[in-house]
Amino acid sequence: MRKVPSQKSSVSWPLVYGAVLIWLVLLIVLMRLFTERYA
Amino acid sequence: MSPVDWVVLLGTILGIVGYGLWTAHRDHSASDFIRGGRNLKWGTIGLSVMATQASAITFLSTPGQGYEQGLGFVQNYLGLPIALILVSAVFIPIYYRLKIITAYEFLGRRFDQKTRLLGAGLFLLQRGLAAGITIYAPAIIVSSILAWPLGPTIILTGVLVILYTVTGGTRTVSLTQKYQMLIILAGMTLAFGYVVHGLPEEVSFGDALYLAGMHDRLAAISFSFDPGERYTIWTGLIGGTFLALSYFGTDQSQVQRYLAGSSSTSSRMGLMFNAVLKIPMQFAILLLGVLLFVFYLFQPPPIFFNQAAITQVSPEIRAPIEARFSEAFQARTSALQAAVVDRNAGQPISTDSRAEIVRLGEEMATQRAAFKTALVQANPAADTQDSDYIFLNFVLGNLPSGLVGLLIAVIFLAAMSSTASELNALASTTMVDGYRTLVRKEGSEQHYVWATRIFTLGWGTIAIGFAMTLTLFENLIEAVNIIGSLFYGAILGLFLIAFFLKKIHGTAAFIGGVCAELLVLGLFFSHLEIGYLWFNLIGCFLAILIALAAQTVLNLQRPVSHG
Repeated sequence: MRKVPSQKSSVSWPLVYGAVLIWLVLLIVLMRLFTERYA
Repeated sequence: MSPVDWVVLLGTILGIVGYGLWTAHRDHSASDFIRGGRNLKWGTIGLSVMATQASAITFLSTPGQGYEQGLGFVQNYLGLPIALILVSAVFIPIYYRLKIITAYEFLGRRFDQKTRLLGAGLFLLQRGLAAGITIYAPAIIVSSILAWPLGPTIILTGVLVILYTVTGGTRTVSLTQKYQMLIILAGMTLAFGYVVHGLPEEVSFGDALYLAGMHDRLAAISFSFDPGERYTIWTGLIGGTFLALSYFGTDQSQVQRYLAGSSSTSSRMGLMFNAVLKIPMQFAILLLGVLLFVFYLFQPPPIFFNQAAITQVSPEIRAPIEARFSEAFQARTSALQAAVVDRNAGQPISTDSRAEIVRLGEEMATQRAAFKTALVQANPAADTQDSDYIFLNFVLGNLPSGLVGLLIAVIFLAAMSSTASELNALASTTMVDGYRTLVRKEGSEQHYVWATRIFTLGWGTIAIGFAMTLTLFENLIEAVNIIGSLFYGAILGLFLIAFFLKKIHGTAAFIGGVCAELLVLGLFFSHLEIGYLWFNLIGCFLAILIALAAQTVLNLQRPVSHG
């Protein structure tokens, strides 16, 4: 029997959203360090 | 501009328009014409969402903002990733499940026809006004700097956009935006490289950052609770999330971009692409402005960056001001060069030397203020803001032939890409939420495609007409934001009720939306001291609270029947 391709997304969205939020926190920390270094 | 610049400028713009017309042959049904055939991949969606948000004025104003006030403005974008996650997790699944074409169609399904028309009407009003400004703002700057006639510049920009938007619809708009955005990013990267390259040999990149920091240009993140401070992490995370949620979740010019995806996964990935890249991109553009500031610490800046305005002040009045300005500049440059030599020799800059540099900078600012006073005396209608002219001034005076043409093309492409999304969305909303619902319910797909084309042409003509009648605003970017903030709050309120308050029905939501909008407009015209960004929040909460109250009253009037 041929397999029917799944319509479901293979992306784990909670993981993606978590990664984006970590990226946001990282950017804020880096920009704050930048501020403290130069401003 | 040299002949090479003209070739690059015209080649780039006509190339994009030609590409747009070439792709405009696939979509035949109204749904395909508006939704773009629903076959776009996430990369195209990501770039198209980015191109819609970044208008020409973004690339003109943001470096100017960095030049004058530093990096703090980047905090305005901190809420954007949070809002995009919310849109991706809550809005997109529902939009896909209901197979809607416009965001306001969702209001119709959840509530009723009148609430849908209210949402669509508010959108048409605010976006219709904003579309005129999107064309006008870059045209006034480019025409002033290059001494081009304003009217034809506006008409040319508008007509080129109308040409491929009318012909190709949503898919063409998104595909052209992909290449427009890639050219824009390439152009801005080259410009960044040239600013760094243009710094004096003895000034390294580290020295440049040091000097920028010394002039308070590198404070990117502030944790201050001082309400007087305009940009802080708190305003960015709270206000920014709110604004971005209204914009990406309910503004059809964005909703239409990501709903053109081949699946909800493409749409969500396109938004996550922006969630990841938008802040670094804005940071880079602001840093470009900061480096321009350092560049003009060593290269003599004009006393006023809008060169066309300089000639409005008579030479007798202008000359002594310019002489004092130039004298202070020369003295400051010498002091800065000595400071850099000291720094490179491992010696800290003395307090006296630092105070002298600051004093000379203040002297230059005083002379600039004197020039602005003279300018207003010569022409009371003159715009005394020149920060939007800084970047193009640098481009024209310092970039090599060819690159100047490319950067002018970047400004036009950015204007065209934002306008295309606006016209596309205005026409779709008029067709789907107005014409197909109220005027002609049973028509052939072909009829609706042609109706959408005519609406695109109509809105394009209105935008050009509005742009032609605009007089010189004090600040155009602010004008766009004020118009948006007056309407976004009530619209977002309606959508949040629709998503999260299931017990509220159509009539109560409609009453909430109308009352909130009237109260926001009342507050705005009462001239109370309220920062315009707060209207987003006020409108949204008023809509929700009034709808809740109205629903309670309606429930009391009509007791629930049992059995």
